[in-house]
Amino acid sequence: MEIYKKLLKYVPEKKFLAIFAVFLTAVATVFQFITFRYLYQFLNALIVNRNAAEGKHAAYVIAGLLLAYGISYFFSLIATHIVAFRLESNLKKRGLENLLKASFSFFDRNQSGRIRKLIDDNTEQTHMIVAHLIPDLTVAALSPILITLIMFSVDWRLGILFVIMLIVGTLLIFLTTGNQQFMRKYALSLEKMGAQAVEYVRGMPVVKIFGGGLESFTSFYNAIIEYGDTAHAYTLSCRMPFVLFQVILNIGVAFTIPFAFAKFGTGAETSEIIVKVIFYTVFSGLLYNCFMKVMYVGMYKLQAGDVIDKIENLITEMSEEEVVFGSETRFDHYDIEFSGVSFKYDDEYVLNDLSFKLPGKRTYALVGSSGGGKSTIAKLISGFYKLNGGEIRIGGKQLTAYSQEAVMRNIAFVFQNTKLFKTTIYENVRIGRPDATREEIMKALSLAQCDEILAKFPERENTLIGSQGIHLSGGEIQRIAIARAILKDANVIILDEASAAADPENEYEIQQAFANLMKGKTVIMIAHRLSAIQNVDEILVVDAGKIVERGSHAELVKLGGEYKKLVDLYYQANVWAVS
Amino acid sequence: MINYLKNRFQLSDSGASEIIRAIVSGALLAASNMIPMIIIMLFTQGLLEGGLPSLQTFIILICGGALVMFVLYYVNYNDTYTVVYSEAKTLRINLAEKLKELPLSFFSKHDMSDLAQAIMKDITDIEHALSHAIPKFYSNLIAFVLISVLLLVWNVPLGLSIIIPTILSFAFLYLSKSIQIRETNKYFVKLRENAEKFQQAIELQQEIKSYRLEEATRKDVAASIEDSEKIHIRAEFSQAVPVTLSGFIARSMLGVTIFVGSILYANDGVTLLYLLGYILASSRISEAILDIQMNFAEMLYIDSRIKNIRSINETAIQSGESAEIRDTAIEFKDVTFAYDDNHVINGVSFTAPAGKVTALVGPSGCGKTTALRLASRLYDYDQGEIRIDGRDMKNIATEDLFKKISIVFQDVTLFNTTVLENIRIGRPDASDEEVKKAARLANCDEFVGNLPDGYDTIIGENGGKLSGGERQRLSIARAILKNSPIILLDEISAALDIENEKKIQDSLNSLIKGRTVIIISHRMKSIENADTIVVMKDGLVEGLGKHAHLMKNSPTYRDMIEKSQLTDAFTY
Repeated sequence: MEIYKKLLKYVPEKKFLAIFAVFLTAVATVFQFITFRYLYQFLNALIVNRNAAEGKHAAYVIAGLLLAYGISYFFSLIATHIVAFRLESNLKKRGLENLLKASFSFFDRNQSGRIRKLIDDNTEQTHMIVAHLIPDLTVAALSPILITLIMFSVDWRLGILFVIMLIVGTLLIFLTTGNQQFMRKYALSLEKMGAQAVEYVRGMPVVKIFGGGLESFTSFYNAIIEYGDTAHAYTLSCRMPFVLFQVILNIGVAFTIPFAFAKFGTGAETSEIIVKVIFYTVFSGLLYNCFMKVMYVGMYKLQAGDVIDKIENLITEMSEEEVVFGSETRFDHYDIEFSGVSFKYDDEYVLNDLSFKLPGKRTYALVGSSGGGKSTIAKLISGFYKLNGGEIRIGGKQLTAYSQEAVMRNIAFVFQNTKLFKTTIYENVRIGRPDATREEIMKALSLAQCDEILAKFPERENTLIGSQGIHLSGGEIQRIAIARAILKDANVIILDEASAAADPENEYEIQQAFANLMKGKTVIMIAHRLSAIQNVDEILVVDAGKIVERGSHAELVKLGGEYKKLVDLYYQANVWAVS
Repeated sequence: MINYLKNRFQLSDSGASEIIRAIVSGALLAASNMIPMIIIMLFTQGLLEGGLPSLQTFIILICGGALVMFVLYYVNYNDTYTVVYSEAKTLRINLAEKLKELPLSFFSKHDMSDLAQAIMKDITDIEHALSHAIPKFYSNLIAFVLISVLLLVWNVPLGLSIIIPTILSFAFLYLSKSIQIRETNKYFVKLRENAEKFQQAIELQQEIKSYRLEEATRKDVAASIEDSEKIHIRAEFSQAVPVTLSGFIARSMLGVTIFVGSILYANDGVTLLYLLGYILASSRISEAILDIQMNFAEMLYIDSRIKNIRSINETAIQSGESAEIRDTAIEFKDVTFAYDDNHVINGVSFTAPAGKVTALVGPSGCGKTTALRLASRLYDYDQGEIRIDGRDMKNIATEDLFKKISIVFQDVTLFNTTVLENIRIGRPDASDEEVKKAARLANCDEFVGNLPDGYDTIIGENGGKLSGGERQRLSIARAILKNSPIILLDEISAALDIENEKKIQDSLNSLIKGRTVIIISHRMKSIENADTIVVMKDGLVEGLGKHAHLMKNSPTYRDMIEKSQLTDAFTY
């Protein structure tokens, strides 16, 4: 019941259909079992009453009931599948909606492939599970009751025999699947073997190149053996109850014979006894099937629960970090102020109680070793991260007070992992300001040094990017993204200069494109090439989440501190050559 | 039979013969399921025709029957469930061994974690099929054929009323499968499209949010989801009719038997005893058929898993004769290489002289990285030769080749073990002292000192706890420890921070001294002094020589140098 509720919560529009499907399955099951009641009738007519007409009548009813069973079963199947497919779609949409609201830190932490698998592939399993769970659960719940009732209606002794078999069967099935600890151990060793397999395969080239290195093979080997042994031990623990279950359920039909002998003294007709024994033998065969359904239902329930839990956890994780926006639409000025800002990845604080001010309309370069927090500072200004403490103010107001529209219009960023949409170059730039004219777009492309890229393709700015389209190098993608940012013409620009260095061949063009983007704006730049930032308004040296030095290039060099050290290292690294 | 099973399900010798045992005991077991029916029939016969045996006789029969069934079930349980896990063990170990033999290029062509997951998941699925579907399918089939023959011999019309529905039921199942294959193809295409849309929505989330494209994206992806729901419903329903019919026919077998039986009985075509026997038989057989069908479906399902395993098992292993390499010069002779249809290297020739530094430069996409990977046998070249010590590299056993080569690339693979063991991979018999010395030379000392347990710190899955620069230094330490005469070096891209870059440069200096080196560098400055510079463009060699010579003769080289000078001089 609980699992029904959990699942149906996601398909409110098909709730009625789901209930109808359960109802239809119930109806089908009833038809199926009543058929057997008429089988009894038929046997009775044929053997006890020796009435051919009555037998024929029963045979017709049986045929009719079978047909009714077939039809209702068919429609219940259709109904459950419709519900199941809708459930799958709705779960995907739910995932999608939350995805579009999640903060950037969620994406920083989770690999895109993993997110997609959880939302897309994971939910895909639901239709299979649900399409089977709904009918099977109904059948499993209804069958024992119906069979018992019909048995009692034929003969109370058969009813009692059946109930005994039911109890013994349930007990043995419980013993077969009951050992939770074994299941957990099994799951653990399976997981361990999987992890070892990944490491083994990934390490294989290394092992081959260096020769030997059997370490990883040994631990994979051990994990395989351990899993095999655990699984073996598990099957051994199930062996006796499962074998007994099958033997007792099969031979059980013959237990009617002692019952029958008990009746001989009571003057009952032998023909009546035959009918009842045969009837029991045929009908109780359904019990085995019903137990199998119960076992499958248990499995489906676990799987369905697992799928829903996975997607719900992901949604919780996404919504916990949902960024909130306010309603302010106007930036009065572009001074940036951090006051007591804390931010952490997982449990590690990258910034802790950081405060500083950056007056607007100036260019700032952040320098320092990786992991020191310079990228984090820049990223937080984008407005798409949720702080763990303190506040960031731009133009005197909290960043969270502005509407998303306002943030979008006034803040632009070009980070390292910029991507393009699978459409034309032109459309990719136009996204920056959808109402821009053609001239404006072409000018932005030109300022971002893209003319040379366009010249490479016959269709120029109308060239398609992506799977069917052309392949661009990292630096070329970067330049188109810069064109987009230039078109947007935001007042605050955040950029990661390392993105330029990642593609040395395009670096000079990217530098110029960045320079065009920065003109007259408030700029926060994560600097990499120290030779290029000598003329920026102010350099901030970030280390261990603190700003340890700030000032112009000349001032900081004179100071002879951390910055001076970095500059010296930079020039040493830059002249290094193999010899 | 053994060979058929072995090949069909990619089993080991012992596995295949165990499965045959399981099939035999399974068939016996299926036959033993008739014991209770026979007892019931004996009882009925006694009542109908007189001469009913005593209660004691029946109790002995029941107990005896139960014992026989118990033994058969027990033996069959051991033959399937228990044996399967040792077979799965063997399959996994054999695959692991096979992977060790495969050429490096196999690993470059496949995504590593996909490969590992596939191997695990595929074998788990096969394991399940081996313990359930496969033996049961065959043994039930055998039992069914035998019983059908008996049923036909005893009474043709009643036998047919069981056999015809069975065949019809299978026919409809087969029909539904072929419809399914056709219809679901459309659905799978749509699913792939959806997956791509999701992937794009996730990867482009920065752009989507900062340009307020959420609503458009949501609408686009949602429409695609709704579309695939419709296609899915259509695909599912086109096969729903035959599937339901198939199950319905199997279940209605009892009805058919009753119907035909009652007519025959009325016309004295069958005795009551036989009629009752057929009714009993049909009730059991219809359940057994549904079972066979389920097993059949599972066998179809694991077909593609088996195909995966087979493709690994049938991949040619890297061959080559063992050779002691003395001359470490590497010579490219008209080498070509293409990824699928994408021709990356179109006839490259140059020599990397022994004990000297050779640098590969050129614009991105020129093929320099591929050339280095060919030299390291991560890919196998299509045509031409890469010669070392006077032989084609392809003909040298890889162990002998890799004894002489160290590779330091940007993507470093680390194991979830200690720092010490990760470096020791460079030379497994090195002492702790030697390992630490190599680490010192590679400038690892400082960051290792900051780890909680120093050299004994376990660094997480694929060294997840280390930064890019630290990983790079560990891989240099490995190479220093290995002390091989040839070094293939893909210098880490400049996107490192300055301190790391400087330290890596220092450690490279101690690595490459006096070796045969082929290097790709991302800074023109660092290769200016190389003994040979190979300038590549569009998969060809444009120029070859020293810096001064190329400045005069290679326009590409000159451009690159000029650009790098401009970049160095640039200020915002």
